[in-house]
Amino acid sequence: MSQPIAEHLNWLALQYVLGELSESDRSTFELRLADDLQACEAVVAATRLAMTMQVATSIVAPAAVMPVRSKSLTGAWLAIGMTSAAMALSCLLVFRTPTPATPSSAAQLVSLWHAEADAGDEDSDDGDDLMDAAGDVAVPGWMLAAVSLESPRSDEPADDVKEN
Amino acid sequence: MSDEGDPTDSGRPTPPERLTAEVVRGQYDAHGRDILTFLTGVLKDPHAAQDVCQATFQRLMEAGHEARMESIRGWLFKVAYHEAMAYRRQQGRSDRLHQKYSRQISETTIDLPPQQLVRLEDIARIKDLLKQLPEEQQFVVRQRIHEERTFAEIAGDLNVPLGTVLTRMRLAVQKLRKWFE
Repeated sequence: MSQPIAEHLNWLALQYVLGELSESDRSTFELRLADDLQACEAVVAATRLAMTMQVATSIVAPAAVMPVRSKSLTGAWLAIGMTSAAMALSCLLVFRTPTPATPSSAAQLVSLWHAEADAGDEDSDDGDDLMDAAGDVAVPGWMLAAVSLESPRSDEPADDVKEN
Repeated sequence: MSDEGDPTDSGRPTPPERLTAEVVRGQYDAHGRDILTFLTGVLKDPHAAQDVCQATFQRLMEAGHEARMESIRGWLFKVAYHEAMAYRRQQGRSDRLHQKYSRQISETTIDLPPQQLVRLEDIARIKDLLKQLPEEQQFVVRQRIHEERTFAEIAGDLNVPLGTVLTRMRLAVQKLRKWFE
């Protein structure tokens, strides 16, 4: 498959996974999945990327807020909401995985969270929301869910992202 | 061997044997994560995806011997797709669906461990890569993925054409995918 075709298929698959296709385009793409292995592989890649981005954007503190051209209040509230929502405990995964994670994976995520917090987000006091009564960091449920389904046979190399 | 043949040979072709649990388990180790990821993308429901994934490998145990091993991956995706469509058709009848898949899971003779769809090292890498995107692309990505706003809503808030938002997202994803891979 040529590069432009592959990129188009990848983009189409991502729109499909995000639910951004029209009803007719969605149906057409789904019919393609019935016997197009490359389209199926594109859905795998798009789903994995979307899920990883979902968790990653939940951990990263928001970058400088994009200036909004709109003169309505929507953009302003949006900017405020972004700043606080980044550290909010109410973030949900795109695919809603509530299964609890293992302690080791949760601890690693907490360390990522700490690393981001220590990066100098002094202005944000949202990190206090993560502290429980004992002063320990309480791992948000959505964060635990993000690394759920961790296989006990995790003997794969860390860089082995793609199979075959 | 005598031309008279084995007296026990009835002349009927030997039925192909089902795949062993070990073989099925090996295929699950090789393809299970991708099949589950695929089903999650199609069904948008991780629990349903788990159930359908189980059903897919159950089918592999039942009928996988009819597939060619060199094309087993394609066979699995095809079965997964059809199982997902069947699940969706039955989605309204939740009780029957639960019974069907519960029965299938209970009949599974092999233990399929859960798959980790998202790896911590991937999250850390994407987190760093996102910061390298231009600000306008970061904004669209976070709005769409983290805030779960539609592209149309983002375009409305930014007061830019929908195509502009789509282009920013597409460029961002292209870069992330390129750097990620």
